[in-house]
Amino acid sequence: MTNSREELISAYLYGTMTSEQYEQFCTWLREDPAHVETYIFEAYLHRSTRVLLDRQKTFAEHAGSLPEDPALYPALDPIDAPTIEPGRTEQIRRMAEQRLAAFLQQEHQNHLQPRRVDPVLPDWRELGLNLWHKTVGTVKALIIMTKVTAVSMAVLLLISVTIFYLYTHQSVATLVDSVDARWGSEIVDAKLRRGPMQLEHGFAQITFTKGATVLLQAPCEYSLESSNRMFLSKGMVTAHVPESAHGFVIQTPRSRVVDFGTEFGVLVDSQERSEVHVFDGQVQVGSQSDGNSTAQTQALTQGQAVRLNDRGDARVEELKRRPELFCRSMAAARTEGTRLGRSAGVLDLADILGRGDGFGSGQLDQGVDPITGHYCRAYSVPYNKHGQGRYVGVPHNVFIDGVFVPQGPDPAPVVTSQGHLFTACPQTSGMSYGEIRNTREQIVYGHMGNLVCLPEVAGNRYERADRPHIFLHANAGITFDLDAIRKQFTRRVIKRFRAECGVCTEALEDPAMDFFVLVDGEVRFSAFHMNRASGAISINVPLRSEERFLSLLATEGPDTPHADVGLFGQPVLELETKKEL
Amino acid sequence: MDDRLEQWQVTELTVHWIKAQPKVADFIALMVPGFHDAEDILQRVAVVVTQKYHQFDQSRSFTDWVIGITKYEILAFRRSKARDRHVFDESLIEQIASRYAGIEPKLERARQVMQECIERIQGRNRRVLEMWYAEEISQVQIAERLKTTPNTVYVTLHRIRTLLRNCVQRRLRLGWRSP
Repeated sequence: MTNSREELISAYLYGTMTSEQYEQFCTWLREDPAHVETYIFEAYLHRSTRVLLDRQKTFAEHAGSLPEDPALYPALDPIDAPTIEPGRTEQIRRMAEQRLAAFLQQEHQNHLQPRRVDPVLPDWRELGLNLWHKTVGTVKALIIMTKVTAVSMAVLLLISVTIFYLYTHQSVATLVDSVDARWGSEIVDAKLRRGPMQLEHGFAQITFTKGATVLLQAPCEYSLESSNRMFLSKGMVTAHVPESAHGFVIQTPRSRVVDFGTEFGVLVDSQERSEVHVFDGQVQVGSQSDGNSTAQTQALTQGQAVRLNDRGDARVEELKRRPELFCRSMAAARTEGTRLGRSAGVLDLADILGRGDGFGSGQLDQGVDPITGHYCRAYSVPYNKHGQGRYVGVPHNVFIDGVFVPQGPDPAPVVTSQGHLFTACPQTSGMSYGEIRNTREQIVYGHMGNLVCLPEVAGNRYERADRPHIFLHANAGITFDLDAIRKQFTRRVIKRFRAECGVCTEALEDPAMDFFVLVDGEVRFSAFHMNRASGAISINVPLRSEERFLSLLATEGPDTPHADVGLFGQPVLELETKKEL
Repeated sequence: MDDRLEQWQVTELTVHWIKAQPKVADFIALMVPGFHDAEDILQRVAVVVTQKYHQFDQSRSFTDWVIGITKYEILAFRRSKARDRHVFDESLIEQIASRYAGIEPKLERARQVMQECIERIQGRNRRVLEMWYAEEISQVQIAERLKTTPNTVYVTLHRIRTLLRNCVQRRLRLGWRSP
């Protein structure tokens, strides 16, 4: 917004709004119901101010104009007039006269016999001594009061400082184990106190004073709040809660999880979306909208999960088969510590395609139609596609700039939203099939959608979350927005793109495909005429901070696009923590 | 007064209207910031309510019923001001009406503390408020009287509204109620 919201609201209420401001204002109102509420409150203050000041002005104008003529007052109904006992008025009058007379008599007596004070000269010595004693006494009293006050204040201060010291320095948890851990700030003591912490790499396990054990998976930002409570800003944790720690709470930006025993996982991604998975026992999840008090509360039991979006809206579902999402023991962390997405040194593009944040929060079997840019269920769209040379955005994923069906070489296809051209595009028919997808177990392909193959290249399977892939048919491409990724991970630098590419081993008819990796439209990797026998080829593309768009695509090669099924295996961005100056 | 209404209906309508009128006026003010336009609409609503009171279903909320009539009058006002691009369109009116219903109880609480907060505005700020709201003097004229610039007056009004907002919100958070 060019103008701040306060400026726009003021301009609207005071009638000074320009047409441009009006457009901005309406856009802002439509963006979010919370904006409408803000405007309503401001408009209400505006109107109430006028009403109240107007009322005061009216009252002030008429306050001195009350009619003096009693006849102008409405007469009381005789029925309402108070009744007075006969003779009572006279009685009151006599009592008043007696009282007045007595008062006047007393005053007269006082006047006739005033108190006389003999003009005695003061005894200055005595006066001085009296004054001195009084002063000393007063000063002594003041000194005593001051001492008492000072001592009281000191005691109070001491108590306050002690309480504060104990509160801030008392440990609430203990670091009991770690694997490849790297922290945002140095851990000098295993005794952990209240306050924020960041686990940048690896895994760590902490045990709270009351007994709850939490396994942290980097990257993880959190805050220890008490001996039985923590706040998770970002990352994944798994909690084991013994009976002694029932009621253990994990607070997130949009939810509050209270454990009633015994094991659950919480995930918060970089956009404040969160998930709670219950592995054993029961938890209570309260969702919060816009930071206000808990909007809805629900109990989850073993096998259930709830997903909350960035508004705090919750959706309960059965636990998906993603047991690898949460690391549930340090033993698993040791054996699988180098697993993709867990070390926080790499960002998984297949997870981003799955609408995650690159660290495992996404889902498998998510596909984007290269013609429309929309996410779609498996095989639910027309399978044969002709791109007609268009580049389309993917509105439901901020990290994906767009998708396309390259048809080249003339005209050169557009491969980014900024209009970068793939000038080296080989000749293609412009026909593609299916979606760009991070499949789970089987790739479906073929113009009828009736062929399947495993996501395997040269004996390497890419079907698990720790070895994911992005499948695309020939003549399909996807472009990632590196700047959008950088904005979410401001403390990291994207160093390079790594992957393996190849034709699926089980692809029918032994197709031939070309693979490309483009950066801002420029070819940084190419592999021509790949077939099943070519195996998997490693890709290593360094990336500079000023480079924005990373495109992965495949074209049909020298033959037709039929049965051209290939994949980019383990497509990751390598990250590095920014060095502090 | 509608000749079709019985005397007891007139009394009943008067009681209803006295209770509903502040909320209706607030509602109109949300959609139509100009005070005089808002008052005109309020008067038209009052006339329509009187004419249609015999149709009112007593099992419904009177205020809700009047708000429904008010929306039509606001839309009619908007059509008459079609060339004025600073009048909300129908979809935005509905959006605001919908949110207003949800937060109306909060506004009611704010109403109770508003007097106290306005009393805290004193001195030059108070004078600006009175000239703008009660005396309906333009910002240019206020600036001339106070020997300053219209922009300064505009900023002052903006700051005063911020002070009032903070005061009301603080009191609402503390559970303060006007005595």
